[in-house]
Amino acid sequence: MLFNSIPFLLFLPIVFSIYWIVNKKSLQFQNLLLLASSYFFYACWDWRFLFLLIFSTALDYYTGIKMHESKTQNNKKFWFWLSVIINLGFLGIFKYYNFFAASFADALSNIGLHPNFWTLQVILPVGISFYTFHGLSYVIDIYKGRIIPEKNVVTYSLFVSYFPLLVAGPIERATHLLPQIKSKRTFDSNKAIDGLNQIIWGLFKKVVIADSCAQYANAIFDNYQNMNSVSLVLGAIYFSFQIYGDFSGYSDIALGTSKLFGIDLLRNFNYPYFSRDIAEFWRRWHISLSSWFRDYLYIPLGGSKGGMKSKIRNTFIIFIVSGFWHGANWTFMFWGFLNAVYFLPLLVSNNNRNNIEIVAKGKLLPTFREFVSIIATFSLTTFAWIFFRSESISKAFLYIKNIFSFNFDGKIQYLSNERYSIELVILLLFFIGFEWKSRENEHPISGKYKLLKLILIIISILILGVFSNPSDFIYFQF
Amino acid sequence: MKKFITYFIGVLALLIAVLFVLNILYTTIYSTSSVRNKIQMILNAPPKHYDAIFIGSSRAENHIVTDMFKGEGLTTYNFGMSGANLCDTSLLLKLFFENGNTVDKVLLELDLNYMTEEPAIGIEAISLPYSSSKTIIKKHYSNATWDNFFINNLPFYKYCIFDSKIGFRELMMSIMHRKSNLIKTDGFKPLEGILNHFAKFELPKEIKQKNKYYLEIKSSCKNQGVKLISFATPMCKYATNQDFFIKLKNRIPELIDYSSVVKSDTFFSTCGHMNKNGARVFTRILINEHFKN
Repeated sequence: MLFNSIPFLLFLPIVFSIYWIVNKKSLQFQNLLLLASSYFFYACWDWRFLFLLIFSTALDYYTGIKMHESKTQNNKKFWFWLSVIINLGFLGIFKYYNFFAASFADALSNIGLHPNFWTLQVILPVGISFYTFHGLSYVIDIYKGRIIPEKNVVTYSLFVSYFPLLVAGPIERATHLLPQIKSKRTFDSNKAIDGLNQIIWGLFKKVVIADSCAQYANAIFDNYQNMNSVSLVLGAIYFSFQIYGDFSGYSDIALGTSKLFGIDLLRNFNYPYFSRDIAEFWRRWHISLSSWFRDYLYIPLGGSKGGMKSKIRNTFIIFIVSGFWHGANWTFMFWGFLNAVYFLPLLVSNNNRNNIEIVAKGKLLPTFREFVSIIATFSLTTFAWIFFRSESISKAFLYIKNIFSFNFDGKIQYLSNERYSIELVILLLFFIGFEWKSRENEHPISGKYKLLKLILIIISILILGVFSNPSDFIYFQF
Repeated sequence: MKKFITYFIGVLALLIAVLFVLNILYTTIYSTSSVRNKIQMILNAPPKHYDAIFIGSSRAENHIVTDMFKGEGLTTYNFGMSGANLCDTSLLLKLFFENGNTVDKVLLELDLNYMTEEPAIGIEAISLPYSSSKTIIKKHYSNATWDNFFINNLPFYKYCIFDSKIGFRELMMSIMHRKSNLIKTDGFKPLEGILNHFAKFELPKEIKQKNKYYLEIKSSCKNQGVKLISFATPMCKYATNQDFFIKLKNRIPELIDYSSVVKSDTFFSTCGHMNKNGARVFTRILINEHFKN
């Protein structure tokens, strides 16, 4: 059930109405209803994987309690590692087994051996990377003594399976979400209105920006051999906006939906393309994953302690692991590696926390220096997206090689059917302007002229949205 | 809660109002704009007399060079539409006659399109802007799609779900009076390229017993007193189940089978479609056989 589908349009009001109207007095009922709805929502993809989700939930629930009850450190360690190994084991089998088997076979074939490995025809359970990390953060926090385990099975299950965040995040923390699930929610009209506006804005980003860019970016990436340099540069830019519109649009719908139920989720995006350096970009892009890796990988590895060498090593580790988290392909790892390379000069010169506040706060326009920094950062991230989008590393390099062939033959040639890039460029410029104006708010449908913006966005969704050929949310595959 | 419900109803009302306004706006623009496709050509252009028209799918659209008929002093138009099935072709012919056009001969490309009675979504889409004013369209597609109910009753729904065909972009093109290349070439769409000899194409093994839209086309022509010529266009030699055309001819005795009159790879762009040179060769054959005394 996609957020931008008719079934979800029916599902959401039904759950919302029952949740607030039928039995607004009972917390247990609210949680049970949300849990049942979440399982139904998940089962709409593939009911068989619901058992995997329930098993993973039960495992972390049980090991969490066992860890807390352990009298000895060894016993505690046992339950901790049991949970970690099983969780990562599932992730490994479903997501990475074929990748490792194929890579190992390739490596052996280089020395003349040709093993016949079994590759598994497995379907990737939607959202497995998200709910696994969700559960892992919970058991790690219990192991480290930061939280005590949740005894109520419904409360804990809802923490893992809450439908707005189940399939593509944000990756929540027990310290943030569990207290909200455990306390009674009362209806807050302002929050619900804000949630509704955020859903509409997320929908705009998905069906207008992401899906429009997808049509062009796909055509260019799929035929990169025949494209001139300008078309290839445009293709990379379109993909940058596609993935941003797609994922941040999804996150906006998730956050907005959750607000309707009185629950605040972690903010996942904060205008990342207005970042002045790559460190700032990573504080504004997929925030819940970046902070997860910071707290559960970078800091345990030693973080910034232990001198420059270990800082650099740890930085490379988290970026490459972060790339690998996205999928079992060398392209994602190279994308992570490239971002680490971008990050390195800032780290070495100790300038990685220079830009904390949003750019040009309280001002209409950025300074020239800020403007140049934004363009440079955007160019670097767009260059890295080429690896993220390409089917293989070699194709990514060929794409880049073709860009630098400086072939300007013919007009911008990437689509037949009388399509011209100028239409999309104009749309993106409007979108950038709109986001720039709203960069100090969580989403644009707020503050002054709220109603006018709402009308404009609704009209834009209807006339500019791509409905005939909608694409899945990109992050569902992770 | 009251505040939220009021706001929600407000948003809903706004949405419905926008849907109604956009629906009226789009429909009006399409009904009055310049010609961008063949359905529009029939509906928006003034009625005309033709010596012959060609109807069918892309195997008509890509194969009949209408320009060559001008040299013979004949007024023709290629109404073949890429992707069209007989259902769509039948509608086009009904609209053609309903709008006061007249013609001496109708040449129907009839081969692969005989195998289905389903409408082609792309063709249905470009007809929909006129469905509210033309009951013939509404009636013709009444059983066509699962969401027909929404298409007919939910304002602007058709423009959303068929956005690539009749959405904002196409609307802007119509407003800017940008003529489609198809109109400039009297409906002929030339193809480039030469057939790759590895090309594979599988013709159907079995022939459909009957196609109600073929009967409908025959009946339309008979009612108008117009001569109907049904013909199969050339197919490359690599296609499997070539006896399809023999079986089809057995089923439809009046069919003229041209499937093997052009064989050289150099005249084909794909197995089922000739390139512009092949189209010229084939058009010459048609002229000689049907338009010379």
